Amino acid sequence: MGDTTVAAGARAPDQPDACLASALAPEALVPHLPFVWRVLRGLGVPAADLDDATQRVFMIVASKIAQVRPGSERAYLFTTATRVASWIRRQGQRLDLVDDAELGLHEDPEPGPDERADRRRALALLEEILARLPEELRLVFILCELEELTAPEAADVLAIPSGTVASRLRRARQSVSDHIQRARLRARRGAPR
Amino acid sequence: MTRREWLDGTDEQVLDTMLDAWRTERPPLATERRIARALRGATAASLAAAALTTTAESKAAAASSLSAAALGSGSSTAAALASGTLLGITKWGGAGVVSGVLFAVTAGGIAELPASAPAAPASALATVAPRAPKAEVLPRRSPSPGASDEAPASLPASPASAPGALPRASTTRARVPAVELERARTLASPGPQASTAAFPIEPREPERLEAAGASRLQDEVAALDGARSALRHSDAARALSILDAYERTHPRGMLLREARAVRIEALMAAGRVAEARERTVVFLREVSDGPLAERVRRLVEPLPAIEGGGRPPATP
Repeated sequence: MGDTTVAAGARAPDQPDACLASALAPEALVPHLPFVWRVLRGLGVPAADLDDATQRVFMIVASKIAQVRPGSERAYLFTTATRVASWIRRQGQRLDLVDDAELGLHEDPEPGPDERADRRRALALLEEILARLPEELRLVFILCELEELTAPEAADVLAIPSGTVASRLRRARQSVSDHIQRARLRARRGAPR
Repeated sequence: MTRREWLDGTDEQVLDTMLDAWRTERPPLATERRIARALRGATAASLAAAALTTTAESKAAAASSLSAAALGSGSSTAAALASGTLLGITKWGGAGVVSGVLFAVTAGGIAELPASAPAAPASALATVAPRAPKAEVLPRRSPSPGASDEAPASLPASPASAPGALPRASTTRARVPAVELERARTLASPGPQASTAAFPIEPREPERLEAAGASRLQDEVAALDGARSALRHSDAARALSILDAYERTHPRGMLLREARAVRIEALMAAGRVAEARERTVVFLREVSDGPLAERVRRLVEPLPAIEGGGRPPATP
């Protein structure tokens, strides 16, 4: 597919933009922690690796902070997250034995146990659906639907035209809709025992 | 919630539930704090490095301090060490002399992540950017034919050359919710462990020392990579021999704990279960919490001997 290049490499890498970049401090990345965490999760990083993966993303971007323009932090983080997620998945996690509950990843003092369980189930379903989307659709769906970026914003992050974002989003939505329907049918079939 | 014409009512409710779950999802506070601390430290260190440079020894000390701090807050050793490295790397970056190695520890082991040199960003980006993003984020579905095994090495080299060139990128900045900014401010505010004294700085022969530090890190990473690789090839004996050499060469290595975790795995793989368990008990006394501890614990289960003493309640 010609337009499958999803991120950073899409633009000419030899532009001297790095020289124009800011005096952004690594600290400016802090507000994006939850974003990166969710993106990694949405990209299928195993629960046991989320902590390390998140840190790695920030390490990488912080080490190149001089190249990050103010305002493009999120784009850098997102792109890096896609690579880190990809890399981690390729490693084949031999020790991926720890599940969310054990790590207490979703521990939140506010919701009660039922609500927490519901949330975990909902997240699990969402992750399952995301995992079934082709990569280029998944990235667009995460940005536009889950993270609520506009099409032009997602186009910025992904370095693709807005029109491509729109068409991918349409396909992603269709696919998600199909998956949700199937999940509902599955649940209905499985429910009354 | 706005209505979505692409879903029928019931499906939309399902999606809304999922979106609610997604949007409330965030890292554990300990993780946020640790990374925020590392980023804050990187800021200070970068500034300092503009005029001064750390010695290799002080880098190790910085990493150790950060390790200790992170451990104190209940996070993983691996991540803590990675934080330490981040500081070192960022310092080098600030001094403009780095062509270093980023590394981190994951469940799969240690990854060597060569970074491009800030001094020559354009060329470095040109080398790696075009192929890196074709990631098999979803390996079961048509992995990109363009992706190669070398991808991990190219992974971080260019977080995004493109976004840096994006004219409208600033529009994304405003999307960080105020609540997250507030939380970030809290996280970023200096804490008791934030003292810059943890990162002693010494102005001296920057380039030579930086090179030495990077080289040492590379050695450590390479050793652990080698051990992991041997394990992946079911060669536990070789893994153990690499780890022996590593511990001899780096008695105070920054990745010592990770090496010990790998050793436990290797011992198990070699069938030396009793020894693995013995080492696990010792390991868990030192690293009782966090993903690394969990992994080690799971490797040797059942392990009744450490349930009482080795796994204290997770108090900060």
